[in-house]
Amino acid sequence: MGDRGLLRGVGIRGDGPARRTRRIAWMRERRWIAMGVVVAVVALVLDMLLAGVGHLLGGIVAPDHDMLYWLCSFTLATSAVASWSMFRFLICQGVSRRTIVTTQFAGNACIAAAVGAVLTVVAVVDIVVIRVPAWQIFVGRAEMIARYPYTLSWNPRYLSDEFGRTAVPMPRINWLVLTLAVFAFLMMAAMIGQTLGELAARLQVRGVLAALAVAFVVALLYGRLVPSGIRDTVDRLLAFMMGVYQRGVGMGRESAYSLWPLLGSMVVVSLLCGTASWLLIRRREVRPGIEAMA
Amino acid sequence: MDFDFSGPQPLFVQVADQLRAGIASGALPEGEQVPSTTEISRTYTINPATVLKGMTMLVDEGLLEKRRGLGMFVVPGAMERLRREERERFERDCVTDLVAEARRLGIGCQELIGLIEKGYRQ
Amino acid sequence: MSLSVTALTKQYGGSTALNRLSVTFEPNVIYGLFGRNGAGKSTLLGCIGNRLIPDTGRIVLDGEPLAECERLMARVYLANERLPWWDGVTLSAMLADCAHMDGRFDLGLARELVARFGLSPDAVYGRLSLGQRTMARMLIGLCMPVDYLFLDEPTTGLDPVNRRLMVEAVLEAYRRRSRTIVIATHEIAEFADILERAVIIDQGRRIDSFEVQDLCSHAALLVGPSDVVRAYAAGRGLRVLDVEHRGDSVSALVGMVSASEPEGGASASVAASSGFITGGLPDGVRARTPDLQTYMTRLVQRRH
Repeated sequence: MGDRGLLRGVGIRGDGPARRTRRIAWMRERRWIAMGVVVAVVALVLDMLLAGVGHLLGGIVAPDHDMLYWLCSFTLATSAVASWSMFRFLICQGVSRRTIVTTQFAGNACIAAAVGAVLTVVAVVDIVVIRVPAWQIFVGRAEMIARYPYTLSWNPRYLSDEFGRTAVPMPRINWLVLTLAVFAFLMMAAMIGQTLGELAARLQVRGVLAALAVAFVVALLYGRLVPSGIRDTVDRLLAFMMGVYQRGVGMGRESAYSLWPLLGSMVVVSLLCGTASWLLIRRREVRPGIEAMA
Repeated sequence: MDFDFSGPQPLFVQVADQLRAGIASGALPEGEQVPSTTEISRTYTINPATVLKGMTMLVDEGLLEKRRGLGMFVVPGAMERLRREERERFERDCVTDLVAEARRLGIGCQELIGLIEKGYRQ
Repeated sequence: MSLSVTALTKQYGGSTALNRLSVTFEPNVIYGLFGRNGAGKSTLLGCIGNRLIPDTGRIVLDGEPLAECERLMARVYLANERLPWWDGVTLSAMLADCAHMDGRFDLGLARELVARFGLSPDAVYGRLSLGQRTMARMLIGLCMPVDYLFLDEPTTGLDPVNRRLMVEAVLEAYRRRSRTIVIATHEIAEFADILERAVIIDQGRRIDSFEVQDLCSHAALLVGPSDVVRAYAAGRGLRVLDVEHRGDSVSALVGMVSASEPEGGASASVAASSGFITGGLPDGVRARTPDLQTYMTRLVQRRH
């Protein structure tokens, strides 16, 4: 009748069940990391090709767009889709919700780090191999931060201070700062994406469409709904989070760039999004579904 | 040894009955091993616990014995005992019922004996 | 040392799927889990499999809470209508995935079952028929190296031949690796022979659990004139569970009032073989033991 005793949980590889679930979670997460990096790199390459071609053809394509926006958007989207779709497989294989959230958190950091590294390499190659002016702006804000001479100080000097001294963007990029800055941006995007993915799973399709519609309308009417004073404060706050100190208004506006607000924002956003994701996933379920589709 | 588990009784009772019949008929010889729970379970798609329950009944009746590590074996003398028990049951139940039925139909004792003799001649 | 569910409650919106349900699953026993559509079987299994979050109640494995504990959840697997993989995956890819995730996955049995069920290893899951998809999901479950396996409707869409194969496959998996297998199904008659115990759920509650082989001492069908049958049942302290009217007579399903052991434990097996209605039936009343399907069906009908 077979052994009726309890079976010991030792696998052929000799590891126990807890390591097995982490291995499963990482198997899945690796795919999303790869996907995130591939998407980012493809976006980057396409954009560079576009800019390069445009430049060669005499500046048809406007060069001063912010590539970082696209990278962040794609990272956010990849992260959202990952957190939305990975859940079911992992839960069915016995992975706990805690592991799912923490694995994706780690995965977000991996994507951010990988893309940051890739961008740095591209930039180095760009400078060493061939200079295409259009490509200089491909990382927009991050590049400004990396070229600013006082980036690593807590209180960077503005472009023109009260003593009349000016601070000029350096011709050379501080690579470490560039990598860290890109990492910070992408990490925030990925964490926000993870939370949005959890939120979308919670709201179901109708809720998501409703939320998108509301967001769309709010974005359109933002200028009219919110008084300019508040808008200004919000702008400054967002800029500060991205490492840009601003003072003055209108034409007299001046900027100073620093890495620390950006890293600080990354930590705060990651904590907030991580907590929100955890709270959302705690009650997330795999409801009995209609057989036919996985 | 071919079993037939299609009766209305609980399955474990049928297992016991079939094994008992096999022992009585000699198909399961004394001192020899009976088919294991695994074999019967696999061949007839029955839960092994059910098969074991039926065998345990026969162990309780002293017809089977469990030899540790080997399996279930028919106890020597089981066949004889079963046949004797079945004779007693025949006498107790069938004969009594037959006589009662014959009385009910108004068949006398001698007439009944004549009918029985006729039955044996056929 | 068992998996026990205590006072589990779950509500979906306004309706209650589980209503303080308690049940215990012992190690190395094959259970049949029965109940009408919507009785709460799938919800119970979903809570055990950490897919649904119960409102109240506890699920405990070997004394420790099961939910969110990966060490314990690795010993439990639920195979239901959901396939964990994407649609475009092939059978062989799924099996390779399983083997990679856990070295103790019974790949040999899996391949054998794939062949026995007539499935092609290179078939894409999403293109299989309903019955083939069921077979694929269930055979993966049968090869998982767990101590508590839960199969939710393992015969959805299967033709009679494949249903038979599925029953045999469950028994084969049980023999290869002894463990608790809980089969939630409507195919009661087909699985009856391989079950050791049965649990019946109705409206979110466990209304009965018993050993299948002891059904003859657990319940009986009495047929006869209505008043005679009812008087007899009342006189013997039997609980009338369901009554079917057939003209002047009734067919009443009766059960033991208490769940205590029948008297004379040692000879219970003998008593069991003749049913617990041991003589003394009044004229015109016949008694017989219901088969498992009849018992379950009539138990949840509860007509009076």
